[in-house]
Amino acid sequence: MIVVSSQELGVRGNTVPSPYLLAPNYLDGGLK
Amino acid sequence: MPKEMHRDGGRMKKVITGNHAASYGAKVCRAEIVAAYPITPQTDVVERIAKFVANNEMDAEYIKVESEHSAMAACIGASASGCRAYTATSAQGLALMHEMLHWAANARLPIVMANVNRAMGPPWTVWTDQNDSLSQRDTGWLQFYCENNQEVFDTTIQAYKICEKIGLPGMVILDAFILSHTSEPVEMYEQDKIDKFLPKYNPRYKLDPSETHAFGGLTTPEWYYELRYKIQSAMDEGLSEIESVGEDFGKMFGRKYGLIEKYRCEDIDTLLVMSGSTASTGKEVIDKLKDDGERIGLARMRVFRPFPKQEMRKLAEDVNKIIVVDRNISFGNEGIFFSEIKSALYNEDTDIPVYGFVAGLGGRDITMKDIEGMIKKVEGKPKDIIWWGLK
Repeated sequence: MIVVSSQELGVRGNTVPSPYLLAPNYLDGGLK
Repeated sequence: MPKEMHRDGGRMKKVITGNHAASYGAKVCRAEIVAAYPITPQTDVVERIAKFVANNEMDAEYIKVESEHSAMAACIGASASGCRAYTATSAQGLALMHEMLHWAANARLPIVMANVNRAMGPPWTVWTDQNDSLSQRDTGWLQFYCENNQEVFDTTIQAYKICEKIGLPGMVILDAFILSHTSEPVEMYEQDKIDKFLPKYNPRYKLDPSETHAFGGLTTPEWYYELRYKIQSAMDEGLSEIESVGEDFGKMFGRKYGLIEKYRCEDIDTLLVMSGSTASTGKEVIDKLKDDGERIGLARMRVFRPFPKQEMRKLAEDVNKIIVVDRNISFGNEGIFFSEIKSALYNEDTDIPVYGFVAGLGGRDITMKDIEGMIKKVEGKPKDIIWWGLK
């Protein structure tokens, strides 16, 4: 698998957080 | 003149979202049974239909159900009894329908649904990619990927005609938010003309107490195999049916549709392949590169099932490389359009390189700059798929 990173494309990047740290409830609670 | 309606050179247009283009599609097709469960970003497809029914603008029964599985089950019952049935869903909702999707196709029921392409969770997300619908590719449903709201409306009308002719269900697919919640002008047609194009559904066999038949009973190995062959044959018939219905639609309503839209594909050496609303961005890139003297064109995959192998092979005859951009990933393999395109070309008298990019998952933008970057990136023999713009 080849990766072209966002930094390589000149996009200011950050590291990807663990999927468990992406809060599932930061969206409106009404969303299914 | 009703609210939202505008005249444009004698044509009647509404400025509506992709979701409402789907709702109006179901309305003008005179769907008789609508059963659905709400899910972002599909919800206002069926909210608008519920309003049509409540206001007596649509002569249909709206069945509220407790899940998408039940929504499809209700559509199956309705379609089996000879009604034109409609539903809409997205992502996890489509996944929950999975068993019933097989049922609808295997029972040869021409149900039409809108699926708003939304990425699968977790982590929870509401933005677009194609993994929800492409995960259902082997269920026997026709799949149409729309580029804009007009196409959502037009394809809903065509889908019923095609599906009712070949006896299989069809999915009209639109990108979450980019189409579902974005308003565009959509031309409406006179109802009389639509009724002429799409007469009342009248199946040869239906659940009817006055003329009894048995459906879906136990089938031994003696016949099951042949029944599957008939579905595959119906899919093959679907290829020509999609083209002829798209042609007839063009004659009647002024917009012609086919299996693959070829955008500026004359005298090219490079073919860019995209689908859905991303193809619009791709077209802008093609225009720009053509102005710079590059010999590149775009193929927009409008139909994924049945897969238009012959058309792809024909397109491949005149180019020396193909670049496929997938807004989806088959984990452990590669982008799904990429796989299927390579498969269509295998065993053909060609060894042109096919490059596969994975981009835009979970609704990340695929910009003109990204697409230009991909085109510039490819050279030599393709080694593996390329993940574009990973953080």
